[in-house]
Amino acid sequence: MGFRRYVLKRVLQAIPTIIAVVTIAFFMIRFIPGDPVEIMMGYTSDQQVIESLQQRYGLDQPLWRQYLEFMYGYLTFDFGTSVRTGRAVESMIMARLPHTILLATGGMIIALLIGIPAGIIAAVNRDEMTDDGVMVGALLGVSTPDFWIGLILILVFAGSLGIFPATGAGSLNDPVELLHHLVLPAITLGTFTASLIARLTRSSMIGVLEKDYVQAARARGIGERTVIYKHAFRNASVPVITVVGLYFGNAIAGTIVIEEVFARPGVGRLLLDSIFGRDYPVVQGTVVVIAVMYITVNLITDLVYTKADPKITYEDT
Amino acid sequence: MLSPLKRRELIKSGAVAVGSGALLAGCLGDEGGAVGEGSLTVRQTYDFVNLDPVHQENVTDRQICANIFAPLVGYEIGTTEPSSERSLADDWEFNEDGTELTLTLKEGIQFHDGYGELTTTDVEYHFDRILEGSPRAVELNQLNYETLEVEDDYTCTMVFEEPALAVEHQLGTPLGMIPPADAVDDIGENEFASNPVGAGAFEFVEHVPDERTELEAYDDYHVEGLPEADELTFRPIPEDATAASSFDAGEIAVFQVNSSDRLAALEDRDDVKITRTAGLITRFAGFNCQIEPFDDVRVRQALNYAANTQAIREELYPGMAEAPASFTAPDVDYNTDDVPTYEYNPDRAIELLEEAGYGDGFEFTWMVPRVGRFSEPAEVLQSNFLEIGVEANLEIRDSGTYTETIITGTDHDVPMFIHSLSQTPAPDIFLANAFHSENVPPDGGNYWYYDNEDVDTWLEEATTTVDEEERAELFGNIQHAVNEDPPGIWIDHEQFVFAMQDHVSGFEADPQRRMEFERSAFEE
Repeated sequence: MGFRRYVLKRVLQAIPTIIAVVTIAFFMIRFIPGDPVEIMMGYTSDQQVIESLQQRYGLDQPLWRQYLEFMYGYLTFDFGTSVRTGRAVESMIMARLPHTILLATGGMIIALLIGIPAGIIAAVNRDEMTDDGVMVGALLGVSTPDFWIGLILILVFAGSLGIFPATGAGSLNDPVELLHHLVLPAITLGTFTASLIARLTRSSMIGVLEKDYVQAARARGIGERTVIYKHAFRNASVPVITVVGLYFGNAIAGTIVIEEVFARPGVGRLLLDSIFGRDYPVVQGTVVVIAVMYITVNLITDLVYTKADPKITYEDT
Repeated sequence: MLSPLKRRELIKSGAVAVGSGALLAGCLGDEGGAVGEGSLTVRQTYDFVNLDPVHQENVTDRQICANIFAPLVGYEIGTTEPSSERSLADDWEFNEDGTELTLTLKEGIQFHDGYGELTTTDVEYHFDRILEGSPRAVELNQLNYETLEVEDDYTCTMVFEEPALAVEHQLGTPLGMIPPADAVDDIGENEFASNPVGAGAFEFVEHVPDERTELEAYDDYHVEGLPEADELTFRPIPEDATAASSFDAGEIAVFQVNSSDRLAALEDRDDVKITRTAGLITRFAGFNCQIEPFDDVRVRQALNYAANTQAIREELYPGMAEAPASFTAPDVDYNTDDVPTYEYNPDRAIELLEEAGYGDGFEFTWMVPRVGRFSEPAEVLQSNFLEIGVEANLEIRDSGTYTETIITGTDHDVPMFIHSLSQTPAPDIFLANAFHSENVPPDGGNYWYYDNEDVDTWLEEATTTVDEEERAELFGNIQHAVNEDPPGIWIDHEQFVFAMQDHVSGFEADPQRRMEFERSAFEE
């Protein structure tokens, strides 16, 4: 199967997944108690008023009809109008999406920068103090809630030292300001994944370092650094890529907590506010966007596999 | 020798260079610009939803709007006293029977963005939009006039079917905040909600969703010499802990303190100023007065005696809770302390229960929302009730379910609930809404299904009379009756507490939780 055909096949496979996600989001939010119009209008509202607003937002229609109209809207990239703000949902999402992508990417870069070297160092120094130190650190990283890490980082680096800003995301037109605002949230988001990657890299590397071809490479007098990074790590990286792909998807969902703690604009925070406000159209729109991002990341991961391990073919995956 | 500021900047720069590389080092400056540049940054919990005065519903919206729009009848900052200086109206006067309110606008008031002078055309246009677009205001009888008679560009009269003295206070809320009619037409209603134009102390500049709302000083503001600050930025920060660190870092200059622990820590600091006031709000545990055993006033009185509300205020919310004499907050007009009160007295509670035939106690279900400020006092009261043999089974519900059940009245058989109600300086509307027997949910706010004929009569008389002494007596009677025949346990009037950097001046906590910054400045 050719590369293009494979990509097309995976994209087509993603469509029913997205439809299923959208459908679940549509029905689930309607089972949450609380009518959005009643909540929007406050505690004391006239029934006539509520009915007229329900009519305006199509909430008086039978559920199946609301569903059909909703699906048609998505096909035409019309995500509807926010019940709370009256603004177009797609524009609300697009205003925040760059910050979420930036945060998820930043978190993953931090995770890779810390996790892979830590895992390799631990594997090479197996059963030594360095190994124990890295593994204890990784255990702490996996066990510590990210919101707590975030708050501590804010307390120390923003509150006490004043090195980084505690809140906000900076202007998209100013890359330096963006990076300045990104450091603490990205470290917070990346800590958990870095710990996982470190543990996985270590165990994968230990397995590979015992292989005959690694011993043979050493016997041929190849430098230890080349043996580790070129011969061993290349082969140990396949399971790491799997985890990176999976957790990059999770990182997108994980931004919800980080965006809330660091008061950053983002799709996750928009989703949270919309759930509390029973803003159906926005919840649905953000869920769809997050699902599409998740699916896209997984697709990219599968493609990267084939580059890292030539044994994996398009048919296999 | 380096000044403290330079030294701090140097430390900052060095730390960043080490921690983040040269790329980040150059970007460090006065982050947020909250301090010392005439730029004031204020924390809010959430981003605004709608800045059109006709449509706004929540505190965040109102707080921002109060700086962009000027009201027809303004309040002195931090009080419930009308201020002619801060009003768009030069004069406002009722006729003898209180059915007509004549407004005379100040001449020469200019809107932002060159939208020209404020006239009665703008007032009429705004009121029309409220009557058409915000039926809630009409439903609550807040602006339910029969006709608006426009005399000239600066004079108009609101004509009501019945006396409507409370409307004076409503004109200090968004109902009286007038945007230019042309701007709403030009910009479009949807767009206007996030690009507002008013005649207030600050002009809208930019909104970055979930990040900040920027305003700048309006040079032609009608109060001479104001505003003091050059820029005003509202920054939504959901987490209190983050907000506190942001305050410590100087990113924000003012924020509302929501926890007693945080308040205690801030009060110990020399570089922080605190401003506070009792809010126009009452937190209470409410009985359903139609359901046995709460249909017996002695049982309701007994639980009032059993409730140690002082312990709740002092232990759970030290420094942030004002003891309530009655349901009405201290700054509400005609508020009186001349009412029966219930000191903590479990023995008296047991006597009353015995008189009511519940000497062996009883058991009931108490619906409580999953919100700390309600579930925490409910747990204390639960243990208080147990001391007199009354077993309250707390049924914790998420806010959506709770609201749907209690507030919109889908279930009229919930024996007890816990809630808080905001009030206005004029008691007419909120007291009638809360205690008149006709105002039960879903159309009204009588969540306790309170039915007291005397109170109904006094409410009807008080809200339709214009004689001040008579109104004071009638509202006094109502407060007395509602304490004597209590539909609930009044826990506290929540204090609104704000912390600000020590060099910020001119900001006062407001009983209605408005945040007005036109007099706020930075001291040298």
